Amino acid sequence: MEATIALRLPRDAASVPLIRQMLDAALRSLGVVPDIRDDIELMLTEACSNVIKHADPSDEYTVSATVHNALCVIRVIDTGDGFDPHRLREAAPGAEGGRGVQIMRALADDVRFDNRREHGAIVCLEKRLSFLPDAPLKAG
Amino acid sequence: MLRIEVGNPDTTTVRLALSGDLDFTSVSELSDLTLADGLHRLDVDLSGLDFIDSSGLAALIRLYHQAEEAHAVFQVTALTPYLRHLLHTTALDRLFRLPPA
Repeated sequence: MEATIALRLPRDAASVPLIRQMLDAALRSLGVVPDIRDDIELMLTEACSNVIKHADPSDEYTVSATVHNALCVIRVIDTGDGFDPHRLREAAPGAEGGRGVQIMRALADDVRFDNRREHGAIVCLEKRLSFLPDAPLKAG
Repeated sequence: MLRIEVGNPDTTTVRLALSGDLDFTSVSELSDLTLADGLHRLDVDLSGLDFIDSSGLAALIRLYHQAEEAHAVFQVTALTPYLRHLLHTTALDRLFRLPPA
């Protein structure tokens, strides 16, 4: 079984807790274990926060999440000016900023940043899922 | 939603207890706090946090630096296992004093 949710959201800070809670509720109803859900909430928040902060001049963005074969694939797509993935740097130990990408790389099983020329950026995050024993949707 | 409880057990100690969601939609409430002069100790209880993101971590780092500038000791007094895992992931367990696991 494959399940997808996709939402077009206003590029507004209030959209981030909204999509985070919606995806968490969806994964909970599929029986995904809490630690994995926590990781996904945080990865998703970092990707969406980047869109809110940086994806000028777009006023909307899209989040899709697909669960298939115990893998969750999240795509956060904006229509801003894009960015250069090679310029993303790791945070210095005591620095305040720059931890969002570090967190995504640490928590996701795979992270890809793509730029579509003049059509904004796509962040694709993958996370392998584990399910509770009584989950309605087991692997496969 | 973020809730911040501020306690002053004595004149040189501030205790912050954070609960709810500390993310970039709520972080300004924490960033707006200013530490009084003469602070010796800043205790931060994070055990009530349901969620924190990199903006929330940045605000904690800012508090840490403010305490350091005031020559005060910044200490995390309580936290959830998930938050401990996250602070380890981001190497902030080497910057902050954490309670024993």
